[in-house]
Amino acid sequence: MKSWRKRTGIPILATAVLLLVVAGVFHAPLLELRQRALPGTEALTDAPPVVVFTTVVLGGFRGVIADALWLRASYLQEEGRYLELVQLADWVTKLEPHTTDVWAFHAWNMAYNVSVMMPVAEDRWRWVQQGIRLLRDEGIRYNPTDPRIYHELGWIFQHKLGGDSDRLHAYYKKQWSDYVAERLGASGRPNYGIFSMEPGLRERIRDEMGLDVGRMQIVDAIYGPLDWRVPQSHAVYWAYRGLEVAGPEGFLSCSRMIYQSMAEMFLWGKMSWDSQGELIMEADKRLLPRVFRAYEETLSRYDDPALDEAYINFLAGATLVMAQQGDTRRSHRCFDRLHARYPTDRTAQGYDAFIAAHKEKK
Amino acid sequence: MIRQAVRSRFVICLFVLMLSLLVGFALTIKGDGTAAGRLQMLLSYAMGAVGVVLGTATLWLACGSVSSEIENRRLHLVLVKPIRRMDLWIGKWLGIVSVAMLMLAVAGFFLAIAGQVALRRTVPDSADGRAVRHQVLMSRYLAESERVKGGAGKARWELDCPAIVSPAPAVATLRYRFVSPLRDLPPVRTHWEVLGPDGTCRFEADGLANMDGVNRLDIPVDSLQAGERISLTFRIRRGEEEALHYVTFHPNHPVELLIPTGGFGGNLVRALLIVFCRVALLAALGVTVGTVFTFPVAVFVSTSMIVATLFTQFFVFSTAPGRPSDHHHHHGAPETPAWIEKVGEDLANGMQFAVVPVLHYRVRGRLAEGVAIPWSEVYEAAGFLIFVYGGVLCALACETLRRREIALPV
Repeated sequence: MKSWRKRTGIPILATAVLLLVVAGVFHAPLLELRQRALPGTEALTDAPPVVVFTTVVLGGFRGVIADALWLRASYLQEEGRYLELVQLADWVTKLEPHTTDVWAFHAWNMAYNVSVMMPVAEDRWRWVQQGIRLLRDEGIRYNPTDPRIYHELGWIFQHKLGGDSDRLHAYYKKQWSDYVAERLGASGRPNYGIFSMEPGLRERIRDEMGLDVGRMQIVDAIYGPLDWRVPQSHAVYWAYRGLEVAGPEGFLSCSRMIYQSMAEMFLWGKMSWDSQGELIMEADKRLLPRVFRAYEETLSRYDDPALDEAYINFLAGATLVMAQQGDTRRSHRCFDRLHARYPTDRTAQGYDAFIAAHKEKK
Repeated sequence: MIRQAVRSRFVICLFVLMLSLLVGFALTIKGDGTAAGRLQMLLSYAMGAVGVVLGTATLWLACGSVSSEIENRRLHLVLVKPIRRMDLWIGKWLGIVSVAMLMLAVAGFFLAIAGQVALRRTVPDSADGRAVRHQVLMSRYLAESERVKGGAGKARWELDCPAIVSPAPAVATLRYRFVSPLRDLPPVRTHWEVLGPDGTCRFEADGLANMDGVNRLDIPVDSLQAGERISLTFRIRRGEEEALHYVTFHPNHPVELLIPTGGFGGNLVRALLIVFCRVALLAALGVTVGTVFTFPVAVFVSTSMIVATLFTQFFVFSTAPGRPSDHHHHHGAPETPAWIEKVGEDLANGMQFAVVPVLHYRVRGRLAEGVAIPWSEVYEAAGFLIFVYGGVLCALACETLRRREIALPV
């Protein structure tokens, strides 16, 4: 037995080394061929060893394991045992790192479904943050060129934090506002001059909030002045990032998110808290020209009649809201734009008749 | 056997594998973002992984222990001596389980250290620190309540306290869930009372309870006395107009009171002992199957038996009345089950009867949640898994060795 081993050991070893070298030689051309044939399946470059190991070693079987983990996650959720969900979501997404839907589902599940099952506000907020972190810190890292993942992240900011569908939305807004104020300053307005001089600060913002200061400045210049304590500002940022990677053909969901978030910030994006700690949301009137811009950019980019409907609704609504708040100058601006772009019998009778007709209807 | 295991580098490989798994879990597990959650996950996953790795390795080692000695004819030298077959079987089994015991001790030591690290890293007065101390690193008796008539506007349960109740600062935790028709309904204002056997109120608390998820209420242990039967009453406090005026307690998740009875160390030891009993049964199975078959066949047969055992419940469900296929025919005459279905059902029922005790002892979830694993369960597990099942397997193996002509060419 031993002599056979001695006889065959060296040739086997030599063959193994030779095959390894040959595999290495073919690796680069094969990668190139794959990237050309299957765009979007680029090999992970800066992924942690565990992810590289599971995706390479398990090959096609990783889908089966991901399914099994997913089933376990669903079972645990039904049973009300949420502890493992972050871990399972982490593993499932690592097994399918290029499938955006997997990231989107798990982030949404944690931020929406699991969070509302928590009796304590702090626990709820933690689960919402888990959803944000999953997409922002990891999902984007593995799918940097897919605009959908930016849209999903923006949606959590726009709807979960920025909207009022959750009973504890005011708590989330307060937590997020405090979190941002601690990093960007009490006003929520970053001092870009200081940021440009201090790389440590920029890194902190990137590590803790996922924001690139250079891009923040661009977003602020296009759509601002933004108060970054307001969740919708982040929705605009992430939607902008989505449009960046979408390229010249654009991505309607992200564009829609930008104008919707801008409209929301204009109508009730100025947040403050009274002495009782109650949230007060007021109109941020400075943003009106930027809202026009957001809508009109989208209209010029996409051919979708629903976008005109959305703009008409915004202009009509803003005309009336501004009038109610006694800001006739801005109310007139909205009305003039409405009539100029979408003239109807209703608008042809003039501003006063438009307001009076609405009051009568009410 | 131990010498053979060490010589074959089996123990070293197993030790390295187990240690890397435990360290890997400790470094990578995320939990739910809290120290308590992370520790719970670590305990649960580590216990699961130890059970699987040790079980697989033990089965492998056990399958080869006799079969390989028959193949290389080493056993012939032993069997010609005046040695009882049972002594041979027990010797092999003891060698294998002592390796498993050693590994379990290593795992237990590691988990105890993980618990200590979590204790030191959390501030005792913080919510997370309290959760680590009072909910995870604790042994709590799970008192299931019995619903009784409560009176107007009140719900009432009765439950028995355990024979030992840990002193303060330990706290008991009440867990309850409601049925919620919609998600994220406003919380209800609750009033809970703990009543002694004579009906005197020992503790009362107002609070808000979520309609979704699990609600928890801490109850000081001073209001509970060992061995007595206490009552819990619940009513909704009238608040705002739009608040709910009634709630339904979840029928599948009864009201539970977790009463602290001891520390984490004892619970960990009991959990590991139950895992040991299961591993010992696998060792017995492997040694016995190895007396009948050659090593690869023995591994295949014993693995198949374990898989069949794990899926027994599934077999029963799929052949039981009311299975999904029945619903397609409920308008017509009931279908007579085919003979193969009847045989399958009888077989599955028989298998389930035989293996239910084996699947009964689950510890990792309870250890992670700080739920007490009583000594009585350890004794029961040892009795069933080691003495009853192990005894039957030993008898089978002895009979096989007695009847089998091992000198025949393999």
